Amino acid sequence: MQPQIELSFVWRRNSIKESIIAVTKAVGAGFNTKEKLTASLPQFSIYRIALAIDALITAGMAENNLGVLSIHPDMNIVFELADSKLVLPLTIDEADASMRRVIINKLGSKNPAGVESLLYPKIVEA
Amino acid sequence: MGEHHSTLRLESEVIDFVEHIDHWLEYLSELMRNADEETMPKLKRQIRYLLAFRTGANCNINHNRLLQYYYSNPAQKGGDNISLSGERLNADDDRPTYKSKPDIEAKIKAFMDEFKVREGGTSIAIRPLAPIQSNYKEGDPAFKLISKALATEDLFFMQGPPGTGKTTAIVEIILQTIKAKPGARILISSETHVAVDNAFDRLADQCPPEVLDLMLRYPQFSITEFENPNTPQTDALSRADALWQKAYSVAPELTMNLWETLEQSKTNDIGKMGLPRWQARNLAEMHQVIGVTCNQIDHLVDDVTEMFDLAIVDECSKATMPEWIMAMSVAKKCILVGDHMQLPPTFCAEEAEALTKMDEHKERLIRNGVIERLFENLPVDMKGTLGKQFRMLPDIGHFISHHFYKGELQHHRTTTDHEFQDFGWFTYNSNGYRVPAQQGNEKKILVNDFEIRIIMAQLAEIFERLKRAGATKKLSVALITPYRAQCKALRITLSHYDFSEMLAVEVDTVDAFQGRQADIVFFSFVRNTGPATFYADDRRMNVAISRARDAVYLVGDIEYIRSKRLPVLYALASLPILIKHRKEDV
Repeated sequence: MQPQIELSFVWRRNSIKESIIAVTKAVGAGFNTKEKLTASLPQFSIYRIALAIDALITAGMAENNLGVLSIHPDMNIVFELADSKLVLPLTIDEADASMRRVIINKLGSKNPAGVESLLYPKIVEA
Repeated sequence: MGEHHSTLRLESEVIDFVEHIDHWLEYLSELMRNADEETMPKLKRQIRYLLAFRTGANCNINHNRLLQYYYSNPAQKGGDNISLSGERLNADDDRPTYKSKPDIEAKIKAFMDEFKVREGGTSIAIRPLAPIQSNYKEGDPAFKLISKALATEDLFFMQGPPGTGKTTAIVEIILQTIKAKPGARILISSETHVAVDNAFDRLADQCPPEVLDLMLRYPQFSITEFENPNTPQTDALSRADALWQKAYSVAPELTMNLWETLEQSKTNDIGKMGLPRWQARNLAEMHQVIGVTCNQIDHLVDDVTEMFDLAIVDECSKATMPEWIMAMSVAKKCILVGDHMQLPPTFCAEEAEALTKMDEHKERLIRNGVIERLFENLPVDMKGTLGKQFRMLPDIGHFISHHFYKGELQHHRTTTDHEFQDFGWFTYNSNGYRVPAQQGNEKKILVNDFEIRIIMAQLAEIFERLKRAGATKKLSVALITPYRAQCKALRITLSHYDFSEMLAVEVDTVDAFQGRQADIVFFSFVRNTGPATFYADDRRMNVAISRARDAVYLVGDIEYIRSKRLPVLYALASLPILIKHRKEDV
């Protein structure tokens, strides 16, 4: 029987994952300046919004251009990966860093390192 | 906190705080063996916090130093060296000596001066100029004690005997802290929701409106009657709801999307809408004064949370050590407020069983708690007692003061506006009526019908007299008893009467009544034969009697109580007999 693994991705910064999701969606919806962002997300503390922006910029998933934020389209891939499991015909050993990079690339990501700096892989035998 | 300090040997036991933490870890691990799904997270949390405290991963390492030292050693005149073993508090000791150039020395000095100015600003020690609440005057001993608590940097223990205004003192401490440090983050915690609710409600009543906006009660209030009608708006669900509505008014589509994505509408097991942890943590960061029970502090704290400047633990003597350690662990400064002369933490049947599996001396140390020992050992600038009681009339107050507080309590009230001001006995001649009737190993039924009938007859009498006098104000009455079975029987009997026009009657055990008060207290002793183990704990009698503002009626067999020859019971037995009932009278 062919070996199979189940590959899933988990948020690295579990404590601010909701803030990352909220900031990404808010910027995507046009709330892309400091004032607009904080006004649209009053249910989040400024502190956690700042931490989320910091994590996104560090991952290369957000850019600050003269106070206007933009989000990299790869964040859609991040959300999809965080939500799903991939069953692949690989062994655990084969699913190493380079293979994972290939997989993320094949999913259409232009910033696979950024994806992996927000998410970490969890691999189990299927 | 690795190596141990020089430790005291008492009754040939080595007493050391780190070891005591280990006793707790052993006990909690034992409890985990049979814990259900609901209790398991609580136990895991307590173990996690104890381990973190043991390794010094808490907010202020001085708390570890102080507890480690003063758990084992009494304070010495002239100060104590509280450094942990192998630790050198003065970094200069390890620095190699060399001669540097004058300009470099000047730069270092300038840097250090700037650092001191900056760091001095983060100190949480406060010296208040005048009281904020009108209850206090500048020279009041209570205000002096509050000032002493505010002036400490790390830890203070405020003992508050019954009715001495612990909650008022807590409110003053918070108001003064906010006045001196407008950005300070403050945690109000206790082992019960009711204690947190009461402190929060009183604060809401005394604080300016802008502070009310900065208060958050997580997750919600357990009380339904409030001193201030605005208090309920501080509960976390109301706060969250208001924020989501605000978000919806600015960005409706985004808000709906986030509401779904972040499972905001998820309900819990009983179909009630709860607050997700991420939301609770965000809310806690947006507010300055947070009220939460010790066991739920962890809901508001994760790896990025900003710590609190001040944690106040109310009723700390009723909290177990892991509970108040949880509050202490997340704050720079901790003020413990409680009274070790009242009841210690209660252990339920499962907990008591796990305790009995331990070494006898470990069990005793856990049951006795740390608070009393700490209070004895702490230096005078870290502890103090509120000395004036505002609750009891002098007769009751003097008894409490004399027997439990070395006669040091002062009394504020001298009169009341109704005729019920007695402190004495409704006793009876048991004439062969034995409670419990069972003997030896038989299961004892601790219900005394005779005492219940006496209480109901007296309630009816009080009701009639109040009605005749045309009283306009209801009196609160507490029916207190040591035993749950008697409590249940009292409730059932009471449900057949309607005294609500003149009396607000509450029935509870002594342990459950701690922290509450009533105009009139009936204490039903129940037992009139066998050992008086339950009464033997003076602290229980202290709580039972000191709940009363105006009158205490002791209902029991006075001869049995006198025969126990225990100091407090003996003193009670010498109080006047108001009525001696015969069995056929009632």
